[in-house]
Parts: sequence; C-alpha cells; structure tokens
Amino acid sequence: MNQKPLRKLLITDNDDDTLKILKYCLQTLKDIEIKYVTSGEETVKEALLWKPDLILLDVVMPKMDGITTMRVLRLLPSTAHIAVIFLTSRIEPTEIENYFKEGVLDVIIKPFDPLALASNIQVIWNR
Amino acid sequence: MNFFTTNLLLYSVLILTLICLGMIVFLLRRLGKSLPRHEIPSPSCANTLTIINSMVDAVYSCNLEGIITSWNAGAEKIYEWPAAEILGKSISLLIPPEQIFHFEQLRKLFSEGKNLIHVETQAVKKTQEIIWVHTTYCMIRDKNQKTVGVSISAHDATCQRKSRESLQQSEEKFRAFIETTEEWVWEMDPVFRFTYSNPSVDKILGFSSQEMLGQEMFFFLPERMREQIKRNMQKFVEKRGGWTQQTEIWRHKNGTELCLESNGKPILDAAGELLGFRGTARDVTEKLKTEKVKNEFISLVSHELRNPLTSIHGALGLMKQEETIAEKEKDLISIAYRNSERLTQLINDVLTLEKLQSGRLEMEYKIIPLREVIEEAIQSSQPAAEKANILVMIEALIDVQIKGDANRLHEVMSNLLSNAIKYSSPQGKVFISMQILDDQVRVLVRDEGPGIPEEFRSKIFQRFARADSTTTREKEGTGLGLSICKNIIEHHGGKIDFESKEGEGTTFYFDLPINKKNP
Repeated sequence: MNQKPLRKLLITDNDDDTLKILKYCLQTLKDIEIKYVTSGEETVKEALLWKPDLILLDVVMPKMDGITTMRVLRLLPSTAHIAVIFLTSRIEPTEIENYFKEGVLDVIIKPFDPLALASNIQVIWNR
Repeated sequence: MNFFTTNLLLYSVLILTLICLGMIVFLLRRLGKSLPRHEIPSPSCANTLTIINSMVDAVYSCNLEGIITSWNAGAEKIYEWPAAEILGKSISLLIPPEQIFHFEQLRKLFSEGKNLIHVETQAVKKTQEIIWVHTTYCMIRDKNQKTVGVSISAHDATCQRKSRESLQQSEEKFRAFIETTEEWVWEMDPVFRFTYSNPSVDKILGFSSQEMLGQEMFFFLPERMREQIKRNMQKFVEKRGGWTQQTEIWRHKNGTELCLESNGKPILDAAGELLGFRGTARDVTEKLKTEKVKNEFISLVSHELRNPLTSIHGALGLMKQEETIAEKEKDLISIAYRNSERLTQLINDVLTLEKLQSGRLEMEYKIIPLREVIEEAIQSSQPAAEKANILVMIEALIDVQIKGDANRLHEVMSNLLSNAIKYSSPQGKVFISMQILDDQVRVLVRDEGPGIPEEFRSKIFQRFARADSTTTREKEGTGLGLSICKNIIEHHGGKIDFESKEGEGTTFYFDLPINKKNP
C-alpha cells in the first residue's frame, strides 16, 4: 500500500471532450489538486515543473505518444519516480502487457466507467 | 482232331489275339499321342509337346495362307478359342480389323529375310474382347529352308499395359497440375542447388525453370539475409526435417524484393540418407501488405470508435446520476447509457472475433490450473448474479492442469456464466461442475432457464446468433459471445457444445485436453 497520500494528479488526453468528461468524473476526488494537459510535451513540462504524484496518461496521442512520454519521464532524474497510469483504447492483452513492461502502475481501458473512475484511481494509488 | 492239333490251334488263336491286341494298343497309344490340341509340325519329341502344352503363353502356328495349324492350351486360355474350333481357321480372327495391316507388314518383313519379330499389339478374343499381347513371330522352314509357316508365341500383356497406361496418365495428370499451378514447385539437392523448378518460377522470380537449375537457393536471396537463412537451412539438413509456412524475403530477377511463403520436405533414401528437399513456394508480398493495411485499419477503428464512445459513455453516466433530472429523462439517459455500453462490447467482440478467425489473436499458452480459472470467472460474475438474484452453485471442481491461455479461458467461462445468469429467472440457480473424460476435462455450466428453441440450436455458435424472440431481445448481448467461445476453445484443441430442453434449462460445456505431464 502506498503510504503517501495522493496530492497532485496530472491528467493528459489530446481529446478535449474526453478531458472534459475526465474533469467531471474526478470532481469527487477530495484534497487532490488536478491539472489537465493535452499533449506528451506538456506532460513532461508539467512533470518537471509541477512535480505531480501521479499522471493519468493517454496512450495514443499525435507527435509524442504516451509510451514515448513515459520513457522521457523515466530518463529524467527528477521525473523518473512519478507513477503513471495509462489511459487507452487499445485492448490487446499483449499491448497491455507491454505497457506494464514499460513500468506503468496500471492501465485504465476506454471507455471507462465514469462513476467508478475516481475511486479506481484512488484504489490503484493505494495498492 | 487229336489233342495236339487242338492245342496248336488254340495256341495259334491266342498268339494271334495277343498280336492283334498289341497292335490295337500300339495304334491307340500312337493315336493318343497324336490327339493334340495342336499339330505342331514335326512333333517328334513328346517332351516338347508336353512343355508347349503346359505353357501359360499362347503358342500356335499358321501356314503361309494364315490358316492356323496348331494351338496350345495357353492359346485356348488367352484367346478363349478351343483348339477344335480354331484349327483350320484364319489367323485374322485373332486380329482386330483395323490392325490387319500389321499382319501384312509382318509378311513383308519375313519376305525381307527377318526371322524373329517381337511386337506388342492388340488381339481379339473369341468373345470379341480386345486384349494386348506381347507377340513373337518366328518363321518355320522345311528341310530345304523353304518357308512353310509362322510360329507365334503370345503373352497376355493387358494388365501390364493397363497399369502402364494408368501410371502414365497419373504422371501426366500430376505433371499437368505441377506445370499449371501458380505455386512454385521446386526440388533441391542436399546442398540447396535447384534440381527442378516448374514454370511458375518465371512469374514469381522472373527466372526460367532452366535458369534455376543448378543454382544455389541463396543466390536468389538478398545478401543481408543469406547467412541467417544458410544457418536455418543447415538445421533442416542436420535434423533431416522439413518446414511449413516459412516466410522469407527473396530477390526477383529485376532486383526488387518479394516475400515468399514456402513449405519443404526432405527427400530421404531407404537408408535414411538425405537426397535433397522438395516443396512449394508462393508469393505472399501482396497478401502481407493487405494484412498490414487491415491491421492498421482495425487498430484505427478500435481507437477511433472508442474515443468518442468514451465521451458519450462518460457524459451519459454522469448525467444519469444527476438528481435534478426528471424521471422520464433519467430513463431515456439510462437507455442511451446501456446502449453505449453495448456498443463498446460489440466493438470489443468484433475485434476479438476478427483476430481469432484470421489467426492474429496471440494466445499465451501456459500450463495452468483450470480450476483457478473457473473459480476466478465465478467470482467475477458474482456481482451480475447478485444483481439478477441468481445463485451460482459449484457442484464439483477438479484440480487439473491444462495447456491454455488463462485470460481467454476466463473470457469463455465468463461468457457462459453471463449467458446462464441472463437467461435464468430471478431466484434461479446456475450450476458449475467439472468432469474427467479420459484425457479430456469437461467444464459444465447449467441453468434452469427457458432452454434454447429447437429451430435456433443449429445457429447458436454463429456470429450475431440470437434467438429472435421477445425474451431474448430483452437480454443484453452482442450475439458474438458464443462464436468467440467456440473459436477460443477450438484454438485450444477442444470443443464446445450444449444440451437443452425447452422449459427445463440448458447446459453448455467445453472439453479441453488435459496436460499429459499432470503430476
């Protein structure tokens, strides 16, 4: 179980509508500061400057996808420790397994249950 | 007459009788010897006649006018003409009308001084059946070397001829297949030099069959591939083994590269020594390109459909929780939400099924305890069972190991459980059990639902198969679940089936091979 409480959560998705839904879904998370960005580049920037505890990261994004973003984060000493949950519409078990090999904390499949998303993130963090 | 005279007379009569009897016996014996089935000229030696008569081959003769003058038992058997009927008749009875000219040719050859002629020709039986005979014609000369006739020996070659013809026909048939097939059919010696190529190689690699002969296969591969493929091929030599569906990049005569899928088998002699390899290859370049495009399309569809669905599903899910919304709107939103869930499942199922059927779904086969997979699936289905007020009962679970993909088998079990729960009435029961059947394990999921209508049973494992009744339409589902289950079980070398009684319930079961190395 993670001893450290979740304080800062960074959410990345290049789809504006999905990002909006995510905002509504995560309103229930109390005492957690949430930031929303729409690209891999912005994710790395926010990770370096804002230092979130957890990043909910979309996998399929133009230019810099989730996997590349994750690898960049792991290469930078100040972001290497940040936990990442992938948000993906890919359902192939082999692909999901590969995500775990990259070192993600967990994978949330799209479309997700909007009512359970907040608690799912909390459960994954505490695990 | 005194006693002496009487005795002399008696003795004389006796002696005369004996002489007469002796002569009769002698004449009869002579007659017996010359009661032949034939009248071979100069039957001076009884042994020769015996030999000729005991021969399987036909031995007969004719004079220069073509009149048959002798006929042995073999001839009777082959031509089915009894000696008594054929002797004195023309040899033309034994020759098909269209082949009479052969006999004329023979006459000519003999007149040119030939003594012995061998031919394979057709002949006519008494029954008018045409047969093939190996025939040897030999001139018969008299003491003055004057030709007086022809002796003929013939062997029935119909069976040999037929088998030779059928072999030839079969060879021609297979040659035609090989020469016309689009597949490249090849043969190589043990050091991978081509010893045969059918004409298709021209279409595939741009080289003619002749150009291929004697060339090492590595010559036709791009340089960067040669070493690796040489190593691979060497393994086949060492193992005396073959290969199937091996895909390699080859070089066309015009310099372009193409992808060939090949199958090869070793050619071994009776002692097991490797004589070479024989096989086929086909160009799969276009097929692979199409597959790549298809994969990309499926991946795109999967992603592009799921992204908007995420928004729709999320928005509806949040809205239906709103307390300020009126009951009617809430109901409508719930319908939309349920159907967005169904659409998600449909996309998942279509993708899974497509991959299963095209063989692109990667299975991760491991030795797994089947009981654990079943238990996990039962546990996952508990919320749905509780919601529907159904009791899932475990009857008998057995510890058995199988070789399989745990995730996919979990999917099968969840699907069967979900169906059983869906089609059970509230407060109904679903029973789970396992059985061992020889080297197979059977998993059964039994419900007490309405059963499957008779007319629908044959379609149950087909895609989008759902019994078209109000009851089943009310049940959620994509109609792909059982088709997916069937594909997964068959990928595992097992089978899936069901038993159903309308009004009493249905039992779905699947059988899987038990791992032989079970402890």
